[in-house]
Amino acid sequence: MSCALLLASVVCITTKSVFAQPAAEVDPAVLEEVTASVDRSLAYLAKHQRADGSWDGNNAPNALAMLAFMGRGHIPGRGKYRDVLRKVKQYTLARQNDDGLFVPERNAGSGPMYQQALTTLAVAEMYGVDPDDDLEEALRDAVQLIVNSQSHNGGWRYQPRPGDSDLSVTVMQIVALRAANNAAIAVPEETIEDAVTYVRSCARQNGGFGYQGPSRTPPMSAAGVVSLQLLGHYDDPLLEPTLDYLSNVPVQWGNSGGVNWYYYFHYYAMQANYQAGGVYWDDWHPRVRKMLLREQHDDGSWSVPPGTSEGEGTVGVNRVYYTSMATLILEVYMHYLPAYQR
Amino acid sequence: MTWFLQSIGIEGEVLEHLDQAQLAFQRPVVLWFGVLLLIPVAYLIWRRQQNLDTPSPRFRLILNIARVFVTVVILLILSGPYLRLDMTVQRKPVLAILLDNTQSMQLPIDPTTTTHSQTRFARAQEALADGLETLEELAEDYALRVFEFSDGLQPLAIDDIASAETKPGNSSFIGEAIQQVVDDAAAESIAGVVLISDGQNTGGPSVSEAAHFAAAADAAVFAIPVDSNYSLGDVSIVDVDTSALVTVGDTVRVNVAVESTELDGESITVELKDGERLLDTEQVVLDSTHPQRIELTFEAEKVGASYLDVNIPVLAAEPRELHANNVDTAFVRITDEKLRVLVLDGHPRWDFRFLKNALNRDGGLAGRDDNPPDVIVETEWKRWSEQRQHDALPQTVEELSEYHVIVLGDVSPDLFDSSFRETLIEAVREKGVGLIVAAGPNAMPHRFDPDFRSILPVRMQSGKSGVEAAAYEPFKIELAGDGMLHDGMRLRDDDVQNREAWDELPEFFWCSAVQRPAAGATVLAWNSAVEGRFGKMPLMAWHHAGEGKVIFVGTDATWRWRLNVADRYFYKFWGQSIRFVARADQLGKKSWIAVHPVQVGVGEEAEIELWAFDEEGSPLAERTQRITFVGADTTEPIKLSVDPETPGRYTAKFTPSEAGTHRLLYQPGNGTESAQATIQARLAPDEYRHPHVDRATLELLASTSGGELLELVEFSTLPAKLSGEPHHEQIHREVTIWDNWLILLVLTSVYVTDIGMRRLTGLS
Repeated sequence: MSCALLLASVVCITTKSVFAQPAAEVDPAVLEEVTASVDRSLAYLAKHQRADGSWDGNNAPNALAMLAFMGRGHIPGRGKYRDVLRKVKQYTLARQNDDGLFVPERNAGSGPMYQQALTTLAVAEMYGVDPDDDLEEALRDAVQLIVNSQSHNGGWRYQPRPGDSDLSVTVMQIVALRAANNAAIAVPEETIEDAVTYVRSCARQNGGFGYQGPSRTPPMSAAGVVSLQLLGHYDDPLLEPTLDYLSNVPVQWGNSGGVNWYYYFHYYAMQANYQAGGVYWDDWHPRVRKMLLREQHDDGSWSVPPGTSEGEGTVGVNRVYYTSMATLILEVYMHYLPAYQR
Repeated sequence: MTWFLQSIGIEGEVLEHLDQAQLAFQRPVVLWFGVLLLIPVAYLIWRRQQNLDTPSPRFRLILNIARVFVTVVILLILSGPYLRLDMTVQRKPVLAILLDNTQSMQLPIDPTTTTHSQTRFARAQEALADGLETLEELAEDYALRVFEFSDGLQPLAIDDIASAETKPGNSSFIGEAIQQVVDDAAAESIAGVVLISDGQNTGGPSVSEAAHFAAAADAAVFAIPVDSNYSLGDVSIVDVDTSALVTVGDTVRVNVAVESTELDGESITVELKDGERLLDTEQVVLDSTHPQRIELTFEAEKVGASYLDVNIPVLAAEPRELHANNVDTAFVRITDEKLRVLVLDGHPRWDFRFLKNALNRDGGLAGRDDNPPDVIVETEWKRWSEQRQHDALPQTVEELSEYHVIVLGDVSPDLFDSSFRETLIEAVREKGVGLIVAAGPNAMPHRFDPDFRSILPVRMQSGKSGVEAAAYEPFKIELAGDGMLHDGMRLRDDDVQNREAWDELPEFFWCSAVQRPAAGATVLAWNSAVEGRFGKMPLMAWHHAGEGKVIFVGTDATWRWRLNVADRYFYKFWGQSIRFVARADQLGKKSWIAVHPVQVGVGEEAEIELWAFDEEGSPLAERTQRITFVGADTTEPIKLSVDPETPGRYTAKFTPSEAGTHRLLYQPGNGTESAQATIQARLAPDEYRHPHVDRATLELLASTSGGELLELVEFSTLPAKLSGEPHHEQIHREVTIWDNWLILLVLTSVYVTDIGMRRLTGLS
């Protein structure tokens, strides 16, 4: 068994680092406010679940909704949302083909690998609270498909086969592989090493990551930081300048500062700053939290900010994607989803 | 007189209104008929006794009177006399006033004014004295009950409020005070509870719990904070957290939480010291908006127990009373050997995932080969070749005994065959290997045979794997009394904070089907929502199984304890439990002393634990050991008794009577290693930990219970805010007055005297 991720993370965590420093405690009143907000959003999601267990024909919103429920500590078969999770589990397992691919009813135009990674992540996390053999088999098959689809340069692209790569798809596969590793599913060492090589190839030396090579945009920079952190490279010299760059990105309800993929960016930026800890986390999370709490609708859902790119054609009708993403961002305070813990 | 009346059964309202009670008879016909018969009966007695051969006529008269008296008493008993009370009374709703009289109420209310010496308590007394008219007005309409409280209630007369000089208590049990006055007024209507306090609840039920209790009883709480526009300048160490056991060479991390008020922007230095040696410092710019966490580190160099001082030099703005909260203590034991740990689980459940990562981060733990702890997951193990499966698990007692601790998750009997089970049981019983069994719905422990289950500290219900909570009625952990004192269960060092931490842990939905604790086992936590014929269901327990210690964890969701705090409580529990059950051989080299807790209030009890070994590293066998307490002005010996279950372990209780940093010295001589420990004794440490007036808590209490937050100057508006008016009630009470010890005594005494006199004088 290869334990590349595990060993890497152990080495990095036990070394005193400028990152992962203790951060200021969050005020209990703030945590109560966040909890109430998350509970409202989950009520919205539960209300909009379809009879077959899905929320959309695209598997990405379905996986994100699953993660949002589990990120608050809800699990299949127990508690208030026992049936919500049971139904989406059955739906998800039924969508997997013999190759391990979770076949979507509806593609978002870019191929299935975004959806594959998110669904694999959701299944990996669910397998930790539901010891179902079917989940284990589905997870093993899904991980194998991701491993097999890695391109020669170490990254992943839209389709489930080696080819070219981009950091946007790659970060999602990395998170899924980290979750699989946490779930004691073997991931080949060379897959990890190649992924690290690819992520680094997208970095600018003075900070920032690009979509397909050295460049700098907020979403890709956040994705690059999270990729290296979850691959165990918490002390990588590329992180600090990138985090400094991210700290200057305006936190606003809109596309200012190049935040075209609003939820995508904040999902990874929150994680990047959380993993970094210390002043990065202290500075970042209150601004994002206040913005999201302010923009939540009375019914618990969120919309997409004007001028940004995650339109309904991409992420599905209704507000399931937005609401799930916003919920996951806020659930960073709850420390539940194992894949995202320091 | 009152006592006498009560002793013959006249009590309650009849006693209270005795002047209005009337004598009546249950059987008046018997009385009148008896009275009519009394004269002929007396005559007959007289006639009969005329023939007696008595010493004198006077003696005969006495005998006649005795017989007649006995007859009269019997007649009275037969007629059933009783006292009857029929009256109309005015019932006033109860209004309780609770005045906080604790150490924190002795803090100055505003040092910047001319009355700078006035304390919070004095300010409250002054306000009540000014409001005497209001109190008298209230007393007309309400049953006014005034108390001062600390860790208990003390009744006060209205006239004594301004002059009461009771010694302030060391803890503020606000929740308990409210619950008690509401409880005491259970049969009456309650107009409200007035709480005059600084809002610091340092013991007993939480304020939130008390607020809900009061709301359920329709008892609105009117909270009156005792403060001014001035806030005390203070920086306080509110929490210190570190690994209890580390290995030489490890980087020891001491996490410190600091709170401050009115000192924003001030730069302070947090120091970590071992005696006089400065280990680390950290600069912090104070920010009062949230607790600030600082990490101090040092490299563990020398084997032994260290009491580390965390200190913030006193700032000029801090009042003298609050200097003590700038200091705290952390206890770290440094060994030269890592604890070797094996973790087996059935599938990579969340508890396993978080535990595995936390164990890997713990510098004091290792596997058999000094790498991180050994971990096997059954789902992965099943996919291995037979040879690899065989090689992965220790096969003999000797191999298994290389571990100090084995953690068993929800593994099945497939991984854990009968031969391995027997080996494991022997390793625990004979070799002292520590065992933690974390239950799960798949197999642990319900699918295992009785032999294996016999080493657990609980007995299981037969044929049942677990108990599921209803979807909307999750279970809640209830810390047991023994759990509060247990090393594994100390989520916070401070007792009060520890209990609060357990109270606030998230709810859960599944627990193992435990029937009862095993004989001799100690229950650490209960699932009070589930009761069987043996009472509440034990959720966590431990006991000695032969030489080894075994902890049973009956929930599969300790990961829920991560809510909002990440690893803080989750790994505190697991890390401490692993160290608690660990086979003690790695400790068997040097003597050391531990004190629980390391910080204690003056007058509060602490437990001293001495591990005593000779120069060969073998545990001492004497029945007692002596250590010396060295205080600022006193030195005294303390005798410790051996733990019969654990050779070399000696314990004693100790109550410091003076504040300060004291030392405990163990100097056995004869070449045996000496040891020492430090204990911080503070005057009411909890009272000064958060010295500011907690208006938010008081506001929450008031709003939750249906009351209101009032200022002291608004005390006179209280009558207008109270609801409930006096009402009249018809009372009918009856008290029997013949069926008591007095009548029986009189009757038997007279009769026995009569018989005795007859016998003595030879009469029949």
